[in-house]
Amino acid sequence: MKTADRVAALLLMGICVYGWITSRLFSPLSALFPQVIVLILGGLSLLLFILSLFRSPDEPRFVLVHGRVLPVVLTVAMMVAWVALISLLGFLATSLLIFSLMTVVLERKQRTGIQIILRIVAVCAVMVAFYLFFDRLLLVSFPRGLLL
Amino acid sequence: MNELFLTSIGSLFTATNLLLVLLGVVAGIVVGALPGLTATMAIALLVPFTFTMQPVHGLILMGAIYVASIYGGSFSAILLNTPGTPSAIATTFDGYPMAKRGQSYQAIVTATVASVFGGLIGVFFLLFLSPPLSRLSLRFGPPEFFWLTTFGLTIIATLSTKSILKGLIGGAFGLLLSMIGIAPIEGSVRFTFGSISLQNGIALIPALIGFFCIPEVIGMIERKAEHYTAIPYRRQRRVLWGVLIHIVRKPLLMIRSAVIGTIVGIIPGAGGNIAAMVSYNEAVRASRNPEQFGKGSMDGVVAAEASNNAEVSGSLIPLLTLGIPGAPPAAVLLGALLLHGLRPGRELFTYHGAVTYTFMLSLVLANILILPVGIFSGRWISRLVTRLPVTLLAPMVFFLSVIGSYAINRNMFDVFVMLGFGLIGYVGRRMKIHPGPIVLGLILGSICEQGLVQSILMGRASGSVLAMFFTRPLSILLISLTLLSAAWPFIAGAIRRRQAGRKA
Amino acid sequence: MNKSNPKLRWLGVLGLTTALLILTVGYAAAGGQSEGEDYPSKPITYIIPFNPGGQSDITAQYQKPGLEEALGTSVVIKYTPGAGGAVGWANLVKTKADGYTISGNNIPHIIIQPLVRENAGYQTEDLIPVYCFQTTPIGLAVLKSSPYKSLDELVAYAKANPGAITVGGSGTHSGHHLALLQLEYLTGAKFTYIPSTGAAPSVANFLGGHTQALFANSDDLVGHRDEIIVLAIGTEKPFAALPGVKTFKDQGINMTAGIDRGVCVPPGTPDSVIRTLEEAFDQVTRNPSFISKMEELGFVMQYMKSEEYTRYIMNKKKEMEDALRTLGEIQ
Repeated sequence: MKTADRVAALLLMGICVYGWITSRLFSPLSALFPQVIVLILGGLSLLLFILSLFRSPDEPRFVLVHGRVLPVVLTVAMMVAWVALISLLGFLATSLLIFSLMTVVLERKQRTGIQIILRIVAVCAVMVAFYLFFDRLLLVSFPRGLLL
Repeated sequence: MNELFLTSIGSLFTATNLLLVLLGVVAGIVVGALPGLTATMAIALLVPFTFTMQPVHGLILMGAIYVASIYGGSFSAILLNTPGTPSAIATTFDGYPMAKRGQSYQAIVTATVASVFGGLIGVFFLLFLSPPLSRLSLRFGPPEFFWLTTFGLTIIATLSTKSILKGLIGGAFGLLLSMIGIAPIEGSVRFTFGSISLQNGIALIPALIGFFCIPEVIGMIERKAEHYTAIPYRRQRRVLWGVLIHIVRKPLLMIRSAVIGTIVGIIPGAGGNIAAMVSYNEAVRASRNPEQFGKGSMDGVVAAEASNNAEVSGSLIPLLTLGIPGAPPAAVLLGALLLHGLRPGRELFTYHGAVTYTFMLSLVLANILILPVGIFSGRWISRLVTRLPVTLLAPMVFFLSVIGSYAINRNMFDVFVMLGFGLIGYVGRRMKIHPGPIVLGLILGSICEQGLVQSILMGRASGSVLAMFFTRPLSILLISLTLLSAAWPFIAGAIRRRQAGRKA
Repeated sequence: MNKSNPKLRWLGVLGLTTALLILTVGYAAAGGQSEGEDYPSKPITYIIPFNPGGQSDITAQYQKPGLEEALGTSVVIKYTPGAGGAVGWANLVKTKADGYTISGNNIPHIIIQPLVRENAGYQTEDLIPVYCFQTTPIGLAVLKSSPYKSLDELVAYAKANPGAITVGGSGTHSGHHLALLQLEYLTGAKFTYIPSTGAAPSVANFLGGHTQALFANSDDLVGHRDEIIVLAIGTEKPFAALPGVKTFKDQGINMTAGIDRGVCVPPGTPDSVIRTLEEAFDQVTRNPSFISKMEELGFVMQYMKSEEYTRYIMNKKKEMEDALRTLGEIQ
């Protein structure tokens, strides 16, 4: 955890430095609050950094991912892809596509092909239902890309 | 007043009105439970439809939706650690741990009963104490808002489970995030990296969904190998009875939470999210076993849900008496009132008194109806969510998160914000930085800054900035509360040590 | 259970995904638009760049039924609040100029924002004005308990004690702020402006006695007229809803103050579309029951069509640029 603390503290201090420098350009009353907060955050981060230099006996280990890393990485990657592709392919199409992929990836080992397909169909139906509810009833008009 | 009161009770019990309350409650719970749909949105969408209705019908429907959606937010807060509305943020603190222990149904029932009682107490204040309370709401000027937010920030100490330092860092980070956008005074464009969308600042709902929900979704995938379902479910008997007894045994908790909710509601600009968190904080401080909070304590859920429903009525007090909305949904209601030619003020209670009193009484009914509707749907929903395998639930929740983040401002940018904060929140969670303080800073930041800068301007005009901050009676009260709240962890620790010493 | 299954599974998934894609494409195509039909042939989105419940929203709600009748299609109101309206307008200029997206616009907002902000996301000229239907006059008020009962008294005190009088209003560089700047410019008195984020908070601040005076919209002034004294109103002629209140001009201060509201469309919208919209809004605005509702709410009617509205905006822009430059607010 101490290394993670150190990294985080340095990152935060960097953000504070950036904040301080940019706030110079604001008008006086617009700069007041940012500068106060940046000082406070910078001070706290410095404190965190200093404390992280001292070893502590009962320090919890920093574990980014409990268990197998691959499913998590794949899921996060698909989440990012999902959001990124919405503008390109349209909301509904992207959602259905990525979701099907996600299910296959996550369930590959445990379920048979039929079961996977059934799951995909069922949840796709739910997704379409939600989509229609929001799009038609609540008039939220989702982004449309090449498809829907 | 009495005559009007009695006739209004009579006019409430017509078939149309009763149906409208029921419809509003059901719709409100649905809206509240879906993350990303808020009470404000729901009422705003409804306003054009009420155009053709009689004013009283429209108001009754919107009032019921308002009440029920604030309650409905607890569903996703408990089951998915995602506040369905910002008012349910505090409900996640103990509601979700309860669900993780298999007590999701019990948590929902607790939230339901607490909301009903809290809401009824709030409506009581609305019906009988509106005039003095609305005068109190006007006493809050810029200095008071500043001190109120500093008091709010001391809640961070309660929310940081292990390290107060990390909690403070989270809070300061949240405050920094709140400054992105156009400065409220003097309008400098701050920290926007050239993006127009950022000029509007970080939208609260996408940030909420990101910080609270996404880490849980990723967590679900992580735990997939160990648990089939995301949330265990243990059958429980006679839950409702148990909850009722628990609440009746601690009347002070309920009353205090409702009072806090009402008072925060009357403060213009402070909404259910702040009400619930302050109430939660006070419950922790007043409790004999504060360490149970955050791990699945019913008291935590009671404190949060009682106050956020009371806040609904609180926000209506300055709205109806002065035309000043106490919270964003009330602002939309103001528009609806004006649309129907109902001008807030004395006129509303005399000339239009019949409509107003019927409306207020309908809130009583709405709060009561939450009990059966909430328990029935709660049982069904908690069974559904807990039976779903992780691999289906996680993507579905993410899907809803995307919809929710988009639906607020119809802006894809918010979805990116949600995802970004989700990943940051995930890493933060692993580093023991709780999202609570960050979100608190984000919510309180703009109110705090405005209070600070406006007070400085006022102080300069009146000759002394220091006097402006420190000599006003209400400010002094708030400063004392702030100091007490900040020092509390140390005081409580000392008291406990002395008690332990005495026992030994 | 081993060799054949993985293949079968993948085939199944592939087939299903393809089927889904075909379905969605078909759906999209079916919902697609046939080109070349008369305008308007599908619903029109009426964007309000502010939060629901505000003045722009109320007005739009009243206009909606009349518009739907005049245009023969449904009108969907959409809210894109943020940055005082800038988010909505910045989005508008990027929207397809086919007449199916229109937006409310507000003077002075669309003039001042591009002037004082380095990157407002749009230029004043980018928003094509279609129709201006109302003005909300802005007035200056004090509480009944105030020691200054007239505009002269207030200004005299402010001149003697620069910065001592706090005046509330909604927003920085907004209509209210501008009104105060003009007042300072024309009288030589100095006030301290206390902006709030919105009309309701500024009114709350004022009613609670935290600011000594307030620049407010006419409907707020009318709504609270029992508790306040309106020192002056920013219309050209005396304002019907506030009888007995003199205008700034009548009291020797040559200024008008108000927020004008209208609708605009993205740049490049065909003239024929603009004409159709113009006519529709004109019809709605001249409707007697609409007029009475608006006046009840404290609005002043306007009936400016596109050309007149454009000229009005350009004149106002020149006026404000000069004023702001002299006051040192912009370079």
